[in-house]
Amino acid sequence: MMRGLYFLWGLIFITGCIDTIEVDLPQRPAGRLVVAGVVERGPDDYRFLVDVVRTQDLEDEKPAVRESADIRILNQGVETLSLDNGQSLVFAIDSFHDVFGGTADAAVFNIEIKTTLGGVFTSLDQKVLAPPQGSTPAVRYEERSELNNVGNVVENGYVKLLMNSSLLNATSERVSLRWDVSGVFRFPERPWTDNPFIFVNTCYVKVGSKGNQINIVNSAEVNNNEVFEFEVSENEADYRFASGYYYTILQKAISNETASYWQELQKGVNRAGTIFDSPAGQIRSNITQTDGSPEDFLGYFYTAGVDTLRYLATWEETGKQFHLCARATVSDACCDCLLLVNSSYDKPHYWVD
Amino acid sequence: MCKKEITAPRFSQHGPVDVDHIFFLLYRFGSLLLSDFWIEIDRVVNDMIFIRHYLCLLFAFSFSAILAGQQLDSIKVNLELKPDNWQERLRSLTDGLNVILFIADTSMVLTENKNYREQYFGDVLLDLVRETENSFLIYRDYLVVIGDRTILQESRSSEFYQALQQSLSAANNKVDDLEILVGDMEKVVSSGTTVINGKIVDGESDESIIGATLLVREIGQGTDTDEDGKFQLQLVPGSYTLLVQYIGYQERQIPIRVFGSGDLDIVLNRSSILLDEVVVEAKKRDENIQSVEVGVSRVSIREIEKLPSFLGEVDIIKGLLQQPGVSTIGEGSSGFNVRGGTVDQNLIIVDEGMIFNVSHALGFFSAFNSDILSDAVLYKGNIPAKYGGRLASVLDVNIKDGNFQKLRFKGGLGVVSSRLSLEGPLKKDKTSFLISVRSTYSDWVLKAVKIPEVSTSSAFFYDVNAKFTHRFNERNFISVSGYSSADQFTYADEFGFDYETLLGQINYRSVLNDHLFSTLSIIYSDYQSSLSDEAGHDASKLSIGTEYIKIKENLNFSFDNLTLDAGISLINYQVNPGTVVPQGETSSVIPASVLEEEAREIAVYSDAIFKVTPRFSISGGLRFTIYQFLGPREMYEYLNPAKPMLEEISGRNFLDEKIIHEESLLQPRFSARYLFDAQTSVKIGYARTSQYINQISNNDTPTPTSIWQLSNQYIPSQLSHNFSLGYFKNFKENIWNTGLELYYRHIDRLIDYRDFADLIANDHLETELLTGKGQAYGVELSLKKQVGVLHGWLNYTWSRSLRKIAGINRQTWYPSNFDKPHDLSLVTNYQINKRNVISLYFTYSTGRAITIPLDRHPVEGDIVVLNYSDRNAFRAPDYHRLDVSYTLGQGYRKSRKFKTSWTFSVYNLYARRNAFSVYVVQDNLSKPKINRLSVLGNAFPSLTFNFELL
Repeated sequence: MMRGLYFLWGLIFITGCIDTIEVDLPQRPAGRLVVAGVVERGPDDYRFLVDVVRTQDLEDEKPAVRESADIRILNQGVETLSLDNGQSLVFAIDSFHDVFGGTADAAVFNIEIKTTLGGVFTSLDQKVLAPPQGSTPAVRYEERSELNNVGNVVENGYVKLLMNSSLLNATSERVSLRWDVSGVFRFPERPWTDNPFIFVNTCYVKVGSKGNQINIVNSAEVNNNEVFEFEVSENEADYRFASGYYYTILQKAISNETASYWQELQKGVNRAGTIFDSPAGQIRSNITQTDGSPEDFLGYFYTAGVDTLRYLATWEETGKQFHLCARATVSDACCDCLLLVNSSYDKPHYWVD
Repeated sequence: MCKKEITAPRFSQHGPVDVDHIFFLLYRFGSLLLSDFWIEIDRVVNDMIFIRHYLCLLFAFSFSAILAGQQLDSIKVNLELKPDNWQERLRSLTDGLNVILFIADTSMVLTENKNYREQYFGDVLLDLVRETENSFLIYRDYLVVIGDRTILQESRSSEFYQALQQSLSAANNKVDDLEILVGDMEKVVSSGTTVINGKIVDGESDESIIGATLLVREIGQGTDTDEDGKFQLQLVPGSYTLLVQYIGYQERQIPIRVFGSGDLDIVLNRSSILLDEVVVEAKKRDENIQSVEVGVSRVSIREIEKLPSFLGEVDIIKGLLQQPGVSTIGEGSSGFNVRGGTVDQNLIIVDEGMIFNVSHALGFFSAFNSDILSDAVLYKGNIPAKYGGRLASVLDVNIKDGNFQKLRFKGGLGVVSSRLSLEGPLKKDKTSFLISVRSTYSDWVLKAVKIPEVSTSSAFFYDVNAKFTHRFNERNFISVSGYSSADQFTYADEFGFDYETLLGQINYRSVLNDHLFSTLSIIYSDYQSSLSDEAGHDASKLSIGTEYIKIKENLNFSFDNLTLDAGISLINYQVNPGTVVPQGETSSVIPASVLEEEAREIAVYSDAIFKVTPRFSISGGLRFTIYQFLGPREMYEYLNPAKPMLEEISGRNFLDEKIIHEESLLQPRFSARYLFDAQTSVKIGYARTSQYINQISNNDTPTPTSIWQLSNQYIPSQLSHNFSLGYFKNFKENIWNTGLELYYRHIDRLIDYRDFADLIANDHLETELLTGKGQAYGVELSLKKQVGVLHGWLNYTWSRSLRKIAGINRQTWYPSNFDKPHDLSLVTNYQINKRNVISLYFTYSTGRAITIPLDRHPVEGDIVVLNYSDRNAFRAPDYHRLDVSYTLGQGYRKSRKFKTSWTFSVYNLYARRNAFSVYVVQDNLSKPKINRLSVLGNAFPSLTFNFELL
């Protein structure tokens, strides 16, 4: 639909244009405190992560400044773990409950933060929801006629990753879902040579998730208990799909309230500037300050039941793409695949041809 | 009163308007003294007494009735005259009384000082001429002639009156001094609608003048002369002032008194001052000074037609944007904002029917076909009591009647659309029709594009107007009209929207007597829109609709110093707030249908314009409204009904009452004007207004699928107080108009939205709304040169539009998203000659208020959260644009029946990329980009061919 809106404003009236500009931003006050935490439960372990940082200017490309803070995880109101700021901690589920009591099914977490300035912040309790079972990814290749940089119409291919999933988990709870997608593609070196004795390496190159592509389904907004062909990723079909592309999908079961939080966050970053854009606003928080001098702060804490899904997209189903070096040695990577960013000779353990 | 019988050597009822008419008038004037006409006058005077009582009660201006009832010669004056300045002093006095003074005997002298204290004006004149050879004549309280006694009382030669006429015209250059009588005076009955046929000819050559304009000042209607120089007017009996204009000729304002159908021929003399390069102005040049209302903009279709336009489409809405106090979010936004009001706070009236959408193609084009409009008036400050239901303004657009005499057509061929209108008699002098069609044909452009998604897309709009007017007899006539418009847009198989308006109305006008006529209107309107998303898990179709039936009876009383409107109107609304239906097998959208809503709005009103003294006029009225939200229906209940919140829904009950919610409000309206002199006035205005139906949208500007929400117990009506103060000064015979207006508006229960409000098919919409206060204030400066080779105007507005709402920005005042403090528009027309016109339009405004991120922070490593500022805390870059157009026409020639013109225009000449929106794009942890979306970021040339069969 967004493409349609761009089209409406840009083509029908042959008018629109988008460019990047400088806007006079006023001098902002010191960074506001942010408390963001998550507890994820996989099949075997918990992962705890809490970030206590200060907001940074839009144009500041340095990492966010971490705030010195005492971070504690509470399970059913009982203090359990102490975390380092920004450091994720993985704890086996069985061990965790052996040490701190309770059961995985009844786990309810919240966080408590004490800053060096004396502020105390606590979150609302969050129950960990089990992810639905039997979710299946699928890949679809499609071509679109588009204008290229010099104004010619060209056919461009795209590979889409689609999700089919139930919204009911094992305990028949209706959950909302969020998907994080990453991938690894295989890249064998293809030096342009007739020498059959040249050793050819194969790299596996990681492709991170598109940072701010937030894939969210709020079950409160879904008619039935399933979603079909929900698009979670779209990539230009190119050499990356020539020798195999393995998708990894983290499917996270979250509450409807958490889904609303992510939807608000999504509206803040996925904007097109058209008249159909609903205005962005101040994102909700489920954290409250319980002690210390009142402070303007941001943040959210949530829990998720995580399932990891993988899918190998084959050469045939991704439009039969050519290798980067199929016709000529167009890149040094043809001879040394490690030159590709995030590449490695190590084959992922899950890669099964 | 000085009443003198005058005999005339000859008279003609059908000849050109020259000295013959003056003799005829004077002849009748004298003879009428003994006729039944005075009985009629007496009756009217009795009516006046009643009306004075009405006004006294209404405004407690008890003194005004006494003053207004005085005859000119019985007005008490204080006057000190000296031999060296007595004529100037006397003229100053008569100017103040709005009386024309003509001293025919320029050699008349005053031999001694005169000091009159509390003396009757008639006595003063008598004293002045007592020891001279002169006498004086007072005609109808607006003309005083001092001249030779013998001439005035006995032998009035044609030369004398010709000299009188010419002298007065030269002296005043605006108002012809004597009234023309039209119709058979011997049959002065209570009368009905009359048809006046006439011809305008050149005073020297006696040739017909084609394309001259006539405007009936009192009713704001007019016509043009055809290829034979002929014209036709339909008027109810009464007194009017005709404004007659043509390029290169002296403008004439001719008072006429219509008794019945008849002929009226007019002579125009060539201008010796402005030569040929004069621009026709379809309104009175000193209207800004004389009119009582403050904050009124009369939009001239002729002016707009000359201006540069986007893709050649003459657009009345864009013409409005050149007026001070009127602005818009930017290109591609539908509607307009008046004095800090939202788009939905403007009442748009076509004849008597209101419409809910004024735009085609999401705001790129106006929904009005300018070819069929007779005029458009925007009330932005002091809204008359006959209008109601909106807070900020009223745009009253009138569609002209079809020609009763002959078939005519008019049209234009443009780049993306064309238009054609056809009018003529179905039965000559009895029934006329007017049909117009406008349509785009952009689809062929899309089909030609090889990109499949484009070639399978569609963008289309059309509008059709039809109006039939039938005259049963001279007292009764009826018009039946319809308007239909539709927009449709589809993008491949992915998404599309469409919206359409249907408006039908019957207006029955009946003349009850010389001064009273009624208009009964029955209107039906239906606005439907839908938005479809055809692909993916969110494939669905959203449909909304607003429908109403309106019945209105208006009585209009008009006599001399007083014009009175009174009436009653009933509107019954039916609103479909939203129905969502999933589309396709993969859709996971939840079907939703919000219960239809029904309400009615009843209004009783009365409005009067009253000339208290020649300098001081008032306009005032009352509007009493009763609004009822109707049941039975289910409604949510809340723990705190005054502040409905989603978390506090206590239940959903079926309310069996027929009237679930009711409001009533008395809305006074008032304005007053004081004339310092003929070219200077000051005005004040006040209007209390309410709004019971609101367009719900938290986008930058409403979209076609923004619902109209009826007020109910949780969403009460919005209320406003509107204050205006204006100072107006004209220069150089009203060629230069200047104005300074101040305004202030206070709004109670102003609606705004929670962050991330869900407004689509939400059956507890009230939980997404926030209410608070609003205020808008500003200064509007205008400078206009009305005629000349180079003419145009400069408008500047400084204004603010602010809100204060609990739940937004910590309940502090914040700007609305159409708050643009500085707004300037400059229009210049260079009339090279009759055929060639070059126009320039430049506009500048402060960038509108926007909300963008203040800072950011990472979440879970590579996700970046943008933290937005307080609402509308920043500003988009300033907006400015220059448009230019060149019109090549054939001019008006006697021999030509087919008039054509070419208009070449360039919109956004220097390709300024004005920001419609500014938004931030964030990819991973990289530095975010601040993007500007320019809807019309290039220069857009266009060529339009216009044609007209006269």
